[in-house]
Amino acid sequence: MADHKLQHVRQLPRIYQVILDWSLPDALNDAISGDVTEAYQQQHQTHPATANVWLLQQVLDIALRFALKTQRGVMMFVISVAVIVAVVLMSLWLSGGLSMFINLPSLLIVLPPAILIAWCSVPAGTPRNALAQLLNGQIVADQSAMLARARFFQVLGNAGLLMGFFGVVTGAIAIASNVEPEVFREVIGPATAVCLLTLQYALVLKTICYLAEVRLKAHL
Amino acid sequence: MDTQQRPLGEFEQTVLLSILRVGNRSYGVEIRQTLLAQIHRDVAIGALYTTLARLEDKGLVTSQMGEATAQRGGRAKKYYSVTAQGQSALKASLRNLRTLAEGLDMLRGAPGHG
Repeated sequence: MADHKLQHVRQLPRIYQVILDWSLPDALNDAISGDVTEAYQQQHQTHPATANVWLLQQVLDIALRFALKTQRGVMMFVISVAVIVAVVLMSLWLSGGLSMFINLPSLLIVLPPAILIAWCSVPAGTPRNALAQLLNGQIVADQSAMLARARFFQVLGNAGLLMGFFGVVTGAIAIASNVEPEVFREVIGPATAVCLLTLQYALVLKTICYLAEVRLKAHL
Repeated sequence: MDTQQRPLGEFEQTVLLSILRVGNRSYGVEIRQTLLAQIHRDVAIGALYTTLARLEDKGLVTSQMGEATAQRGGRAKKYYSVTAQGQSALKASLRNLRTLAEGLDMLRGAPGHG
């Protein structure tokens, strides 16, 4: 009979358990996760049609209540990044539309080399741990590990910025070398705009990396 | 002393009373079931534990980890008990409510009122 019951125990979907583990303090995690699981079984027996909606509401409510305490730094980081991205997008949109700010070669000049340089500048595993630390305020580490994680973002931002300047200089040289006098007035504007895009991408990357670095150093 | 300075909120009183109703040793699911059965109040689990944590910080309840069951996904229960300080605070709070409500015409005929 007991085995029969065990087979019908409904476990929480994995994503909900991840959210609960992330948002709850260690002291309450077992109690609350267990209560949610137990109440979910009961809900399935009494209101099977609405049990999943009930579960979603409970998990979101718990995450909102506790994450602001346990993951305050993460929440502030996410909000800061969202605000910066929103402001950048708004300014791009107000400047005449987003399409003129999208240029794949400029992105390729900035992002892959910056990631490669940052990846090689820190011990193995540090980039992954740095990202995990950024998204989970409850992870603890010693001072040297924390400094290495902060350095990953510092190098990523600085390398991106340098690649941005490199792109601008390269673009300017290309323009100066290739533009013919008779088409100068028509070509110089668009060509300069594309060449400046590398610097813009680099500045956005540097700003986000600066936020990440500050957040990790706050743990020291 | 602190409980005299900060009166209990309505939900705090409700939670303390429901813990006492289950024999002064109950965990979250039992407290929720008591509230639903007795006063038809369906409480969110997050709201309940936020209040329990606050009551514990004030010293009005204590907690103790209990057993884990398969029905809970192997997670342990956390049993709460109302402390002597919590019982005093609750009595004072209910006494204050009764004092304020006494003699009000609009409450005549309500349970517990003349």
